[in-house]
Amino acid sequence: MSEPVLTEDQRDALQEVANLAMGQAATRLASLLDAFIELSVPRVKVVAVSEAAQALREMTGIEDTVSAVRQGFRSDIKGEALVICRSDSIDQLCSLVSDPYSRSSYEAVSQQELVFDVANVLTGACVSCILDQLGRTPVFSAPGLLGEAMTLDEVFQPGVLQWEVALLVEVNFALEDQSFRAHLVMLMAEESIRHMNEALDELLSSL
Amino acid sequence: MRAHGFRHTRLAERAPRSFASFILASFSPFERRSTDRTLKKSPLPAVNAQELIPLTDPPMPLPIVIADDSLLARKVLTKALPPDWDVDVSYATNGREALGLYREGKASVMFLDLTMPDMTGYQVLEALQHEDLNTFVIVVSADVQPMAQSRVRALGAVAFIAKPVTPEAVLPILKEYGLYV
Repeated sequence: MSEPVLTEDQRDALQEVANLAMGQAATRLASLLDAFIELSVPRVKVVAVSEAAQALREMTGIEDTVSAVRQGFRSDIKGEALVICRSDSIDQLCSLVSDPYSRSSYEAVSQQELVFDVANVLTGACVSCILDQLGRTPVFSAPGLLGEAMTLDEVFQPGVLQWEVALLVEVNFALEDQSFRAHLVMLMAEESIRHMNEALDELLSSL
Repeated sequence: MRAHGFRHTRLAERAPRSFASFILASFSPFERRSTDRTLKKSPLPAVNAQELIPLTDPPMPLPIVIADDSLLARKVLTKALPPDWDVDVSYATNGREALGLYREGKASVMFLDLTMPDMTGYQVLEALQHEDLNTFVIVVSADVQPMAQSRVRALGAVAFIAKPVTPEAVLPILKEYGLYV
């Protein structure tokens, strides 16, 4: 079984597709957080799930624990999206957000809500926009919390997630004054990656 | 520098139309500029009309730069330009290259992406402000936050186009600034 790899043109196209998706997500996140989101070039990489933790550590520099929210998407390109952010950056995020989060007396609940909201915005906008550009209309399942304060190895441990391949999309949403970063990972079966490659080729040849 | 009369002939041949619209086409970009911006060194006063035209009228074909790190994005943008627009396109894959092409005089118009490695679009705009800013910068970006748009305008960009770029989005801007008629 050969590793699904992207050609240079496919990788470039996917990166630009992700770039557009990031822009959509940033606009929605900016209005959610009432802050300007600075964007950088997204980086994309396809790895086996068994190597995802290490690859994500290298891309993001995350060594400590993270919160991860999962959400499934289905079309002929199907899989699961994970939104991952550093556990300690969530406090910073909460301090930025005014009502309803900061004034809530149930702080733990509202923090979780905030993480869900952020994850929902990122997954909804990014995954929809990526698949839309590839001519697919995904159906989403409800988001679920994979865990709080997990290590990246725990996120990608065998048996938790059923997918073979991880498409790492380094979505670098940095808040202007304080550093909050969120990362999006799309997990897929090899067959879906092949469909995606075909869709990218179609996109490129249409130009 | 091309002879004055030769240019008139060329332009007239390219697009035969009324004298009034010809004058408008030749001058409108720079009339617009001089009102939009406070030029440090205005070429307009104290120059006779014979010299004014070659100085201010951009050369044909118009040198334009498309600056984007993505090949896909460069292709999409190129395809969105009017097919009969008489331009000489140079491509830049990062901000530094874009600035270099500008300094070589290859950017009467610059289509500028914001998120690029090795100088972002914002940094290019800032750098251009320290030069003579003798170009029309049209920012083309996936970052459609309202604040991103107001920022690039404050930095001297004349227009903002959201990705994915369409011919319908490009054409009115080129017409507004008299870059394409």
